[in-house]
Amino acid sequence: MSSKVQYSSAEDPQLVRLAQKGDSEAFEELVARHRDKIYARAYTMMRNEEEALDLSQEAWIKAWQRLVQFQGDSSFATWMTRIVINLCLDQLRRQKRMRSESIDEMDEESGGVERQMEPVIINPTERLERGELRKRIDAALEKLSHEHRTVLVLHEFEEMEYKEIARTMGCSIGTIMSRLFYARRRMAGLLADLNRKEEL
Amino acid sequence: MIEFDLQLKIQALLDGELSESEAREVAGLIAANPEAAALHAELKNTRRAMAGFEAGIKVPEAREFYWSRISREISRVEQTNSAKATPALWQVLSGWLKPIGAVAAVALVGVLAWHQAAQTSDTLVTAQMDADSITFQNDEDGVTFVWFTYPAENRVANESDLNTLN
Repeated sequence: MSSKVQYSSAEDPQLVRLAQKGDSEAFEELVARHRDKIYARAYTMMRNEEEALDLSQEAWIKAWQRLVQFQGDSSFATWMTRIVINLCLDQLRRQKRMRSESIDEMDEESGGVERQMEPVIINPTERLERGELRKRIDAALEKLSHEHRTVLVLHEFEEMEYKEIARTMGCSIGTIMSRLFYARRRMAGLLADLNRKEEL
Repeated sequence: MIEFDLQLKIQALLDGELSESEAREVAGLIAANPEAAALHAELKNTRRAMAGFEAGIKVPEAREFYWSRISREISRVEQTNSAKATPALWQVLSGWLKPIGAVAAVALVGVLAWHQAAQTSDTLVTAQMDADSITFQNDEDGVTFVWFTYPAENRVANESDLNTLN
């Protein structure tokens, strides 16, 4: 059966059906197609290359074990990203338990000074090459707490609605709105600050 | 300074999270308030800046290397699962032996009960011919009689070459 299949040209649903029957070559093709996206999500959330590699690979192993449960209600890529997001959230919760919350984090939770900050008038993205902008966003994301970064990632990259993020993270919609607002304003501030430094 | 509640509503408008009437109301406020308009523009720019950020992130490993670890782990997990699913020989045997043992135990109890019942019956007669004695025992009355013959009167004694007392 598998010798007749052109894995590289097969659509995702066909590869999923083959993988559900135990065809590991079909599964390997799915991994090859979506591995960057899955790794990128893990990296954006964890901010650590090694952890992102481990968690993304763990997500693929879990996916293989649970493949029979995939009914095709969403795309395979969406299903996979939800697996890796849940693994990252579990890992972040474990890490949080291991460290004590700092005063900074408590301040961030309530919105901190960002709610009183004047809007950044300059456009943080103007005159920047895509590659340069990516580096700056990367550096700015690094400065956010994992709670704020996670809300931002789930909203901006996973395109989840507020209520879905609240369910995923186990908090209220109000907290999600507040965290998202804080995260965006902090990002704007950090990107604008980088722009100002460059102008000096 | 704009109220925090309005700040969040401006954000919600951008994210398409407001009802139609609320969206109209907040849009009106943004149009009338330069500070609200500036905040809306800032949030919009930040969102635009982040679009496509993840697309530039790639796995820092070759396809084969990345897959090999997944493949190895899948094989290991499946071996572990199949080992759990396939019982050892003693487990299979114990599966059969348990019901057989239970039946045997019930049968033994039955035999013992029957034997005990037989022993407690009215009369038990034991003849030990080679010992030249006949025993009569009545458990109910607690009476036991033993007859000794001299010389031996039974067939075995007569046929054997025993040295009996003369």
